[in-house]
Amino acid sequence: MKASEIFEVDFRDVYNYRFSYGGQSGYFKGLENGKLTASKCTHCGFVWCPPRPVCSKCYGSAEALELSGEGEILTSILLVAPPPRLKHVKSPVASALVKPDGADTCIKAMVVSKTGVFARGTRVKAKFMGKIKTIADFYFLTL
Amino acid sequence: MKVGIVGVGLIPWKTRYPDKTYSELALDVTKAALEDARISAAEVDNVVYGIADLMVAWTRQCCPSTTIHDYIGMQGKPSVRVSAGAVTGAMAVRQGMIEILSGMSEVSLVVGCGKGMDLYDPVTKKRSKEFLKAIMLDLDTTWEVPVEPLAAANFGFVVQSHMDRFGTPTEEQMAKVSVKNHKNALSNPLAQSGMNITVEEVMKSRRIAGPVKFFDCCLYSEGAAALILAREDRARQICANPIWIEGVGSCNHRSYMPNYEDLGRMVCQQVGAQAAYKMAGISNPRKQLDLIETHDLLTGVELISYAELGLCEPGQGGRLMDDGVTQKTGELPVNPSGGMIGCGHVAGCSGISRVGEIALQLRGTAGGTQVPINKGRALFSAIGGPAISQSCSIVLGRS
Repeated sequence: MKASEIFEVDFRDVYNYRFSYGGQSGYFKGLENGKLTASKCTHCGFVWCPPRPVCSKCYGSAEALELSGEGEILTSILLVAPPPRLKHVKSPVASALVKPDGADTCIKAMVVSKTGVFARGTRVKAKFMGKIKTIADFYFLTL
Repeated sequence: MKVGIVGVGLIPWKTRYPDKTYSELALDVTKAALEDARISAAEVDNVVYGIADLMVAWTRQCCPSTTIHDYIGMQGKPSVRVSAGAVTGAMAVRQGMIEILSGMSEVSLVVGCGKGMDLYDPVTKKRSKEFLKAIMLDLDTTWEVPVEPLAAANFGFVVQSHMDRFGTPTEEQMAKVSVKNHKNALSNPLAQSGMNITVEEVMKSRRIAGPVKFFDCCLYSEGAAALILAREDRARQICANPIWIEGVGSCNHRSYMPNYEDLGRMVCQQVGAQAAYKMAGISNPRKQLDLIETHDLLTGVELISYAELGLCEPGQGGRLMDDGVTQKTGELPVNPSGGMIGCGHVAGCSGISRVGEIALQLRGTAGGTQVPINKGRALFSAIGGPAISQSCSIVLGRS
């Protein structure tokens, strides 16, 4: 088929959402209040961060647990450019897996480092940004 | 009871097929596979579609298999659509095999297709930006997407954490994979991106995130692929040289959040490959296989796969590359077709295409990509999903 014979049209499709974070809502409410929260299984003791109301390992019920907000980097990927939400920080930004102190899991988050060091084991502390929509609305700062 | 591949339908993969709808692409490969098997559509008992959920975003169509089913003339036959990210195609082959082993069917058509480049940004007048936004929907939209720039960075985490843990692969070893697979694709008339490229050019290409550079990444394509599978007795009636599915293993392993001790490993691929080897009676893949096609989503991922597939110890994949073991002329060629880096990638049907490519290799009709077949067995291994959490490995044999 010749290019001139192809019939193409422009089309725009937009969907708007209002969704809940369900049983993990407490995590996001915690972030809005400057707290990093987790859940501890009342049966096996596993600490989930982000929290899960029912433990995925033993199906036991879990209770809320507040963490210190500090942790360490497990691995990271330096970003070529900072994401829009962190344009103001003027320091190198990495997307990283961070193990919060007191948790048995790790979480994925943005990390800002004034020194540009994001090595495994680097200590970090959560920095909260107020109004929370997604996990991009808080980040960790290296200590 | 065994299941044999008796028909292969492949077409070139391209950046875009502006002259074809996805149904038309599916028809092209279905027709080719039926012609290869020398059977009619009426002899097909069921259809398995390998079409990733991403097609919903790509083509504004939630149930593409229902429209394709009509278009390719399969009315009245049962069908099911399989969707498992980049592993979709391999899982569709597995499902086609299950249809036959269950006794429900004698002949399965497994067909996949994908069109992503209908997406278009009217501001920049480019398709890639909109496409890359859509493909992020394959990742965890709550716990990953907000803090990741690109899907390649998601897979890059696995590579970076492997580097952190084992000290390898180096970025130069990763570049060698890019050189290999792009070069292999030059011999493949169906490949999207065959080229002679140097390690230096790969190293100097645009950095995407962390250790990942532009030429470390597979391309995304539009395309389709189809296979005809048949029960052992029917397979022997249909053709003189069926290629048998000797082993299949699959695993879905969410690795990084609660199991961070697995960082840098692709446990899903290790578990899936071991299950496939066990079913096929393979104890030393390096000595018992003629070739491997594996998902090279990134160059570093291919090198990590070498260990997960049992070719070396973890952390030694780069060394295998340095030693030339996996070159097309090496001891055990990996991705002689060009892989995803050289051929392109369609999440729904890369697995169907690669299994078809191996079937041609084992038949000895792979043309320019043909490698010597002495042992009569080969492996295909698909990986994908958020944080490389899913796999499906398939051992194929000709005897």
